[in-house]
Amino acid sequence: MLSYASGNLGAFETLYRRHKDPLYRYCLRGARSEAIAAELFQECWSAVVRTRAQYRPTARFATWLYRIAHNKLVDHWRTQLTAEPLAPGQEPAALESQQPEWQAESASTAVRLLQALAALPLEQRAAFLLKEEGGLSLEEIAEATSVGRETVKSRLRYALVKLREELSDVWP
Amino acid sequence: MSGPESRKPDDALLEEFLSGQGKVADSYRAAGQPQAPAQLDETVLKMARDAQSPAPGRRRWSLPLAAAATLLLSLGLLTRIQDDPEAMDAVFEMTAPSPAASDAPASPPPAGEPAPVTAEREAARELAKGRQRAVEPAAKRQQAIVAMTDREAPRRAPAAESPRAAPAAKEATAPAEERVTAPAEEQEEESSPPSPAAAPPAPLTRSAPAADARATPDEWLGQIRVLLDDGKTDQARQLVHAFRRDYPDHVLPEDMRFLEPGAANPEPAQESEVAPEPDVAEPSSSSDGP
Repeated sequence: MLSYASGNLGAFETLYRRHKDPLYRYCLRGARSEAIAAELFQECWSAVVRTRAQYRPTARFATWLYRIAHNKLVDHWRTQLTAEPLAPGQEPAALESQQPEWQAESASTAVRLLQALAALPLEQRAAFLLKEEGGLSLEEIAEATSVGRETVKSRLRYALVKLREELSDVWP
Repeated sequence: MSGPESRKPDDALLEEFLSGQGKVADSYRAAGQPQAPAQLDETVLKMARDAQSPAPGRRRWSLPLAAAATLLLSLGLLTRIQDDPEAMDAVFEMTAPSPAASDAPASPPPAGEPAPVTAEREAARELAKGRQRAVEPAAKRQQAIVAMTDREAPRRAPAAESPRAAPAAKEATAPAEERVTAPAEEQEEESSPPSPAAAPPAPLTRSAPAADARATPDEWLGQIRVLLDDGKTDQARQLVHAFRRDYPDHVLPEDMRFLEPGAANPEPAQESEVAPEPDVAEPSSSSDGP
């Protein structure tokens, strides 16, 4: 990132190739909409480009990138308060690209897991995705989401318990 | 108490997840790894490239736009200056060096020698000509002042007797736009018909046609101040005398009152640069005494 900030466009392309797919999935599964995910994804990289001169290597680039993404995601859901969280028993919104598969593979464990993940509260879902997609540690998730480390642990515990409960029939 | 929220979360499940193992993590990865669409890739990379180099559109338009704005402002300022004689005088006062203070030769340059006309003087002369066309009544008033000065000047020496005094008197009494003319033009003017300043004093009376162009007090005072600034106190005093004939009751500015006919202090304090300070700066020895 420092190389890019000093004017090396190739460094940006390297960073982009390395992080683009996990970041896209974070946006996709965090926003539960491909259109919104694409918008958030572009906004994230736009922020990276715009603020490259202010970047200071106080943390890993991934932590900085996902902090931007998390803030964008939170801002999005703040404007969609009626859609978050889902009421108990309500079917989570399926991803548009997975809609046909959703019907066909509804019995699939993986799809059911995604369904359960989409139903999680944003804080728990974001903590789960930051670990799985961003590869962030507890401390890095805490920094990216501006909360304490124990709060992150608590959110992850609740998320994992709920996911397991949703799949308790296949995971006895 | 037995609800899912009250139950203590499973730390083992968390440790397993954080280590990248466990059924939850495996199932999540098995759900598929959608990738960013290629269109997004193109959009983002293009955005980065555009941000790296200045926008060509901005670069293409910025210079002509700045030039056009500068030209427009300059034209507006020039028009305003030409329409406003006082603004023109102010410009000349600021930009044109005083003839007395300049390094111009005391005597006219030889006829065969090229005249040192600078670009600034050329521009000032052009401006002066333009202004003279635009503000003819003002020029008439200035000529009336010059004529009055000449009339009041007692026994003014002929130009032929004192070649140095003639241009000096002319400089002192000529309007501002004439004072910034180049030496070459001054030479031409000497061979041309005499200007009002060099002409013999016209019989100017209040009933004469020239009285229509009677100068205002501000114009009188402006001319007087020019003379004072040039150090031509005697001529300024003569102009004050002439001014008093038209405006006997007008109150002069404080720094010009010493030019009044019956003034007690012949020179203002600030003009005597080496005048000794009054004895208030140092403690007087008399203060120690009784």
